[in-house]
Amino acid sequence: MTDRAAIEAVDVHKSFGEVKALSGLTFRVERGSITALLGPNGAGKTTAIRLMLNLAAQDRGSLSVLGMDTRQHSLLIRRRVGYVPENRAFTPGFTVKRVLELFQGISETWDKELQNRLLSDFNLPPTRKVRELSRGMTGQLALILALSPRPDLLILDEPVSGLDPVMRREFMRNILAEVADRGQTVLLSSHNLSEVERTADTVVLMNHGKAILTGSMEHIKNTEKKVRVAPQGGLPPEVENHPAVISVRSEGRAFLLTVSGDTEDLLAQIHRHNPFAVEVLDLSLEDIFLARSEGDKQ
Amino acid sequence: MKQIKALARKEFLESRVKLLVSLGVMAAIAVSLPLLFDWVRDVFMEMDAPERWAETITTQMGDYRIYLWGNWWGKNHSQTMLVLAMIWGMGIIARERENGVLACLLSRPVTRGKLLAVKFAAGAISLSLTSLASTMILLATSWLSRGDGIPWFILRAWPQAALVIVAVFALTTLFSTLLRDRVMALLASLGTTVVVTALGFIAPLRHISPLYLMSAPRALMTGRQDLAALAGLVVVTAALYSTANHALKRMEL
Repeated sequence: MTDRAAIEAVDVHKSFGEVKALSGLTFRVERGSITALLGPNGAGKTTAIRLMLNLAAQDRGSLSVLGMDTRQHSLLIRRRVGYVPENRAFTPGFTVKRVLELFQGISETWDKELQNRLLSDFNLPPTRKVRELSRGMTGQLALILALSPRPDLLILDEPVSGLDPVMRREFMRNILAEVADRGQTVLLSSHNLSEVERTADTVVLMNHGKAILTGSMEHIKNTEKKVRVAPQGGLPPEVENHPAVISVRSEGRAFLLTVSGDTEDLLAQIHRHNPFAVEVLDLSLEDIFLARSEGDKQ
Repeated sequence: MKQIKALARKEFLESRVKLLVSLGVMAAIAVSLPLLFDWVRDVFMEMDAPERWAETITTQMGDYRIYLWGNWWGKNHSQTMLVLAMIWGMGIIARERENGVLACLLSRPVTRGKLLAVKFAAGAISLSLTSLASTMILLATSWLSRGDGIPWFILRAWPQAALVIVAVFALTTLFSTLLRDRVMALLASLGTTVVVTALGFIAPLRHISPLYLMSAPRALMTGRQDLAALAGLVVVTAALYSTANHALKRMEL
């Protein structure tokens, strides 16, 4: 384990009764990065986040946050982590001001100036009760609560779910504006791939409780491609079963292959069978996400 | 200390309506008991009661002091306060777990032990003060309505009654921690209390009955606190609280 890792998970397993939520999750988040934790529903993203905050305990494997073991140093970790949960639950009868006072009281560090600036930037009325806040406002309140203690690591679980596109963009812009200059690490769990693509510099894609793809956004987009092949006859087995092929979909007489890694050998194999046409296409993060989630093949 | 103050403030602010309603209900009972004595006595005395009840009625209704003690500590105060203790305890953990506030608080640098301690202390203090305040209202009403002095002796039972209330609150807290649903926690606590009370009707087991313990007969008769009963209640409360604390520490959110 190196000092540069903000989060390091090694072979983490977690079951809830018969349900395996995590089965050998291994990934690493570098300090200062904005890392997106992606995956379909039930992939284990929220469970992984809960383990990081010791809201649940892993069955086996090791998990460290900011260089500290999550089970042994939970309190120290929570002092340095800001968390925006998916379910932003605050006492409904409390006003915004009272919620802020409560969280200021239980946090050991609190930047009141930052809190007031964010309140003013978001135009959040301090006297309004939590139950009267819109979903967007509740998200903004959660963000103020997470950012005001000036955490080293910010964990955001589905931060823009339920927000309209304008609010989504504004919300992400606010997060970026706050963390950009301070070198804070951000772990962002989201379904909204277009926002993630704009925001994150690193991606961890999860499925069935483990990480099936990790790397920098740039590297992933350079190595994950689509190849459209129009072969003479069917798709040769050595092409279909090539290690670089993640998934295959037929499109009339042509085939659309999602490929990853070194594609040179694959393309050589394809050309050996004199296809009618071969086309290499770039993939968006959404394409990669869908292909990997469906294919789930390394 | 800063954390404890912030968490305690949250608890008292959240439960202020519950506290006012509880105080209102208990105050109404406390005021009515002395005022209704003459009327209730006349009704009972004029009743054509079976012979085996007649003596009990004469004993209880013939002496205002026994009427006050028996009805306050043995019935009205105790039954109502036990129900209030269950209502206060049912949501202490289960409600905050249901609505996600518990996970939100525990993702901050707060230990589970500290969180439960503040919640439990806030509830126990509120319930004990409700019991004490309503008893003081009973004394004041009695003094004002009857004009024969303040019946201070009534207060002798309060320490024991308050400890029973806190013990039942601890029991409900335990169920609120173990069960995901607050209604289930209430029913589990109610069921356990009813069973223990029913067992208390068997003479050798009467010392385990919450209603018997709350009526503190030894304190009435001797004028001294029943230290064995008080110590037993402290041990039971500590055991229930400690189990709830252990369960909360193991809870996965």
